[in-house]
Amino acid sequence: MTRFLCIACTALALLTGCRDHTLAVCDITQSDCQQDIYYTDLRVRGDGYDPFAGIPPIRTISEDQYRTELVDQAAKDAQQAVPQPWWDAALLLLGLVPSTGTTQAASIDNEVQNTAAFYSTKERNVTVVSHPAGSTDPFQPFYNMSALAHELVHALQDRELNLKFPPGTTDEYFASKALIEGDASLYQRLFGYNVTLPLGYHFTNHDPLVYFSTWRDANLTDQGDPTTNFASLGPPFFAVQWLQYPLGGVWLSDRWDKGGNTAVRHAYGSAPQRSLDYLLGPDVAAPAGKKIGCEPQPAAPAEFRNSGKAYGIDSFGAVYFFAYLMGWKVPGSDSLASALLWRYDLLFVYYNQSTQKTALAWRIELASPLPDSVLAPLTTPSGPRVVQTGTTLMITASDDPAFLANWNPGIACQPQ
Amino acid sequence: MGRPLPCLCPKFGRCGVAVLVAVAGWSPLGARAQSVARPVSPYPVLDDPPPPLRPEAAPDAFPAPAPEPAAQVVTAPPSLSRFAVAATLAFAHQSETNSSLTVATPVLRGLYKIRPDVMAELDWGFALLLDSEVSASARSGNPWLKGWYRGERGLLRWYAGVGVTVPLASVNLGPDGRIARALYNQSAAAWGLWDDWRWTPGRMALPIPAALWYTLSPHVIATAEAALAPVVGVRDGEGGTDLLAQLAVGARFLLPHDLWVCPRVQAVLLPSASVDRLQLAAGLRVEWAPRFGRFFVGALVNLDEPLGVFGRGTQTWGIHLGKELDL
Repeated sequence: MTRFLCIACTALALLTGCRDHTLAVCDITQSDCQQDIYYTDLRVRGDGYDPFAGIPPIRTISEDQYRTELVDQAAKDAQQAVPQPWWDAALLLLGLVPSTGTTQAASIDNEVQNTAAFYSTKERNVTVVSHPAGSTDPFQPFYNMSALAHELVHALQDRELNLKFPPGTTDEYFASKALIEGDASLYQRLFGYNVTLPLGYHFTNHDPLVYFSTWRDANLTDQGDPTTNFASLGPPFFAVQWLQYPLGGVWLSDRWDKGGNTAVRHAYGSAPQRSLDYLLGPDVAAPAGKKIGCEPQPAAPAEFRNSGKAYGIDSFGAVYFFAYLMGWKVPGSDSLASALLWRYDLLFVYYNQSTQKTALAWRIELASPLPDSVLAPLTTPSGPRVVQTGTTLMITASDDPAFLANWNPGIACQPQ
Repeated sequence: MGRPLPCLCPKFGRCGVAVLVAVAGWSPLGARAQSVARPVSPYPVLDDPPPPLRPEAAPDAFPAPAPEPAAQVVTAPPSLSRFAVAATLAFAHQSETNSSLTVATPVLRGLYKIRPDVMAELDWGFALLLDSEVSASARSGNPWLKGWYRGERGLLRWYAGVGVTVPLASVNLGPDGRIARALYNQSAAAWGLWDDWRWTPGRMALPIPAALWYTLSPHVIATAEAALAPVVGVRDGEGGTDLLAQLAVGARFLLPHDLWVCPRVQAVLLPSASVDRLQLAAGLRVEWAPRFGRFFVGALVNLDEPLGVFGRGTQTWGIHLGKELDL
C-alpha cells in the first residue's frame, strides 16, 4: 500500500510539474500552429475549454484580394441598403473625411492598410491579411500569430457576448467596440508574452497597462512618431476606429492588473457606455452626463426634412469631438483636453431631396467653455460655423451656402 | 494530441503516467483476506448496496449458504430499500496572475428501484464558481433522467441504461456570458469531461450508458464503463447535432478495514467541432464502505490536451469526494 501511494504521489507530482508553455514562432496556416495558439489563448483567459467550440476556419489573403472583397461587399450593401448621402456629406462638411474620393473609398483604403486580421461573426471564420512588407520581415510570423490570437478571442467572445450590437448612437457603438477590441487586444498581448520571439527581438516590458498606455498616448498626439500618431491612422473619422484598441486595452489591462482574469470577466457588466470614459482612463471618476431634449431652433425648413424630422440624429461622443478638433488642426494636447470637457452631444443632419444639399447642426455640451486658442483654428471661412454660448458649442454647416447664410440655429433648451 | 511531450517527464509520456498509475494499482495489495464486498464502480454509476460484511448480519430473507467469495460478489442480494440517494462533489482550482478561480460541482443523485433489475434515477449537477474569493456564481447543470436494467452472468455483472437530459444549463449572451461559460467549462473539466452532457449549455442529450465489472479474485474487480450520447442544440447559438462517447476502465482493490482503492483511466470522444477529439484522464479513488454507506475521496488528472497537464492544455485536475449511490 505504501509503495502504491508513493508511486501515485510521484506520478502526480511529475504531472503537475510539466508546464512548459512557451511557444515557438510558427506558420499560422498550419493546423498545429493554430491549435497551439488556441490553447494558449484559452490558458491566458483561464475560462477552461468548451468542447463544442473549435478553431474557426482561417484563411490568408493579400491586400489586393482584401480590397476586392471590400469593394464587392460595399457594392452588395449599397444594393440592399437605402442610400444615405446626407451622412457622407455631413462627415465631409465636418472635415472628418477627405474631400477627395468618396467616404467609402477612403474607408476601404484605411481598412486595407490597417487591418492585420479579422473575425467574421457572420461567416464565423478568421481572415489574415498579408501586407507586402510582411514577406521579408522576420517578425511577420509573430505578428500573424499575434493577430490570430486576437481573432480567436473574438471567436470565444462570440459565444459569450452579443457581438451583433443593437442599434445605438455612434458613441455607444464606439464604447462597445472598445470593450470588445480591448479585451481581444489584452489577451493578444498576454499571448505574445508566451511566444519565444525571433533572435534579437524582445518585449520592452511585460506589463500590458504600460504597453497600452504608450500606444494610446502615441495615437492621441499630432507630434512624435509619424507612423503611430493620430494622422498616421487615416482621416479623422476612420482614425477613431483604431483608437478602440489602445483605449479599450488601457481600460481592460488596468482591470487585469488589479484583479487578473476575474476582474476582466466582471468588467463587461461595468464597462463604460461612453467614449469619454475611455478617453479619461480607468482611474478617473466618470463625470455625469447631460441630456439634450430638443432640436436646435430655428429648425431647418420643411424641404430639408423627412416627414417633418431630421434625416439623421446621432451622438458622436467625446472621441469623435477629439477627431473633429484634430481634423481642424487644433494641437493634440488641446484637442484631448477639450474632448475631455465633452458631456453630451447631438448631431442633426438635414437633407434637401430636390437640391441634394445637406445641412447639419452639431450641439455639444461641455463642462466648461473652450479657450479662444482652441476656437481660433475652428473658425475658418471655409469651415463650419462654430458658436460658443456658455458651455454649449453649436457647429453648423451646409453645402448650400445660400441656405446657411439664412439659417443660424441657437440653443432651444437647456440640457438636463 | 500526439505532440512530443515537453519538459520534465518525456520518458513517461502522457500514456506512460496512466500506465504507471495502473501498474501501481495492480501491485500485490491487501494480501489478507477480508469479507468480500460487492463490486462497485469507482465513479458514479450504479452499484449494489454493500452486502453484509458478517454472515450473522445477513437478512433472514437471504439464508442461502455462502458460496465461493468470488461468486458471492456477483450474486449479492439487492437492497431491501426502494430508494437511494447520493451526492458527489468535484473541486477544481487554478491560480493565475492576480487572480484565482475555484469551481465546485455538487451532483445529487436519487434512485428508485422499480423491480430488482429495473431502476429509475435522477441525477442533477450544479456548478458553483468562486472568482478570486470576491465573487461567487452558481448555475444549474442539466438534470439527467435515466432508466437502468441490471443483469449478471457468472462472475460478470452489467448494467445498461438510457436517459435524457433536461437543458436547464444555459449561457445568455451578454455581460455575464463569459462567467457562465467559464463556470460550465471548468465544471466539466473537473470531471475530465466525463458525462459532459451534465454541463453542456443549450443542449440536450440522450445518453446510453453501460457498465460492467468482472470479479477476478476476492480482492480484485475489473470495471469498465461506457456511454454514447447524441447531443442536440436546443437554444440559440447552440445548433446542430453531435455525438459524445466515453469509455473508462479501472480496477478495484480491497484493502483492510472496508477500504477499496480504485484506479481508473478514462477517454472521452469530444464533439466534431472540438480542437482535440479525445480527452484522456487518470483517476485514483479511495473508498470506505461500511454498512451505512460508501464514501470516497479521490483525484482525477486530465492527461492530454485540451485539459491535460501535458502539452498546451489548461492543466486542470479535480478532487472528488462524496457518497456513492447504493441501490
